[in-house]
Amino acid sequence: MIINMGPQHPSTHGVLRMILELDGENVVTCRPVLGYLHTGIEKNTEYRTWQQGVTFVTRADYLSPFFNELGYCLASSASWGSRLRPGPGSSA
Amino acid sequence: MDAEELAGQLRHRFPDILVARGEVTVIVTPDDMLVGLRYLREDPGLSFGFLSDLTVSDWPELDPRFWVAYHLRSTERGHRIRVKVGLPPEPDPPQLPSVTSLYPTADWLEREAYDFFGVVFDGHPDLRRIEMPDDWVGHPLRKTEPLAGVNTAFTGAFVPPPDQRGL
Repeated sequence: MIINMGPQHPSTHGVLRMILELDGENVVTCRPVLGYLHTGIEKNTEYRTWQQGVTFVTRADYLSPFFNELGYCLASSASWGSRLRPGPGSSA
Repeated sequence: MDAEELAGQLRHRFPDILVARGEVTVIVTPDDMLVGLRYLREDPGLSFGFLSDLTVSDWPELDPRFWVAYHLRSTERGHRIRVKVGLPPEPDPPQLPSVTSLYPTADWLEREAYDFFGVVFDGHPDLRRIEMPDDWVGHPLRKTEPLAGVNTAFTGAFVPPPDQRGL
C-alpha cells in the first residue's frame, strides 16, 4: 500500500512529504519530498548587503537560527579578512 | 595536521594548491576529478572519508564559468580540504562524473547542484530536482536567472523583480 504522509501531517509540520510503501505495518520504501521551506534565501542575499543577509539566514531553519547566523557571520567576516571573536567559554 | 603541512603532503599529487585562512583548496581538472577524489579518500595518510558539502558558484562572464567545490572531511584525522573543478560555459548543461560511487552523501548534494545550477552528473542513480517543483523551468541560482518577476502557479501572487521594489 502506498501512503502519502505530509506535508500537512502534524509530525512533518508542513515542510516534509514522504511517500511510503507499506507491507502491513512495515515501511518497505520511503521517497522523501523536500523543498517546501526553500524560499531562495541564497538568491535573495545576492541582492542585499552583508548586514541584511543576517536576517535571512536566521530564518533558513527556524529551529536553529543561531547556528546559521554564526556560520554566516564567521564566513562573511573571514571573507573580508577579519576574525570574529567567540564569546567567553567557547571552544571555537 | 595544519593547513601548510597538509598542502605539503599533497603537492606532489596536486600541483595547483591554495592555502588561505588556514584552509586548503585543491584545483583539479574535470578529467582528473574522480581519480583525485578517490586518492584523497583512500590514501591512508589522508583518509578523507566524508563528503560534507558540494557547492557550485556561477561566473557568467568568465571561463571557467562554473566552479564545483567538494568539501571533504576526514573523521579519522580531523582535517578538511576543498576540491574545486572549473567547468567551461560550453557545453551547457555542463557535465561532470558523479561521485556517488565514492561518497553516498553526493546523491542529494548532486541533485541540489543539478536543481539550482543545471550541472549534470553522469552516472548519478536518480538525477532529478530535489528542492524546486518538478515542473520548474531553468536553474534558479545561476546568476543569469532573475530573483523574481516570474510567473508562479498561484493566482495573484506575482512578485516584481527587486529593481522595481525599491530595495
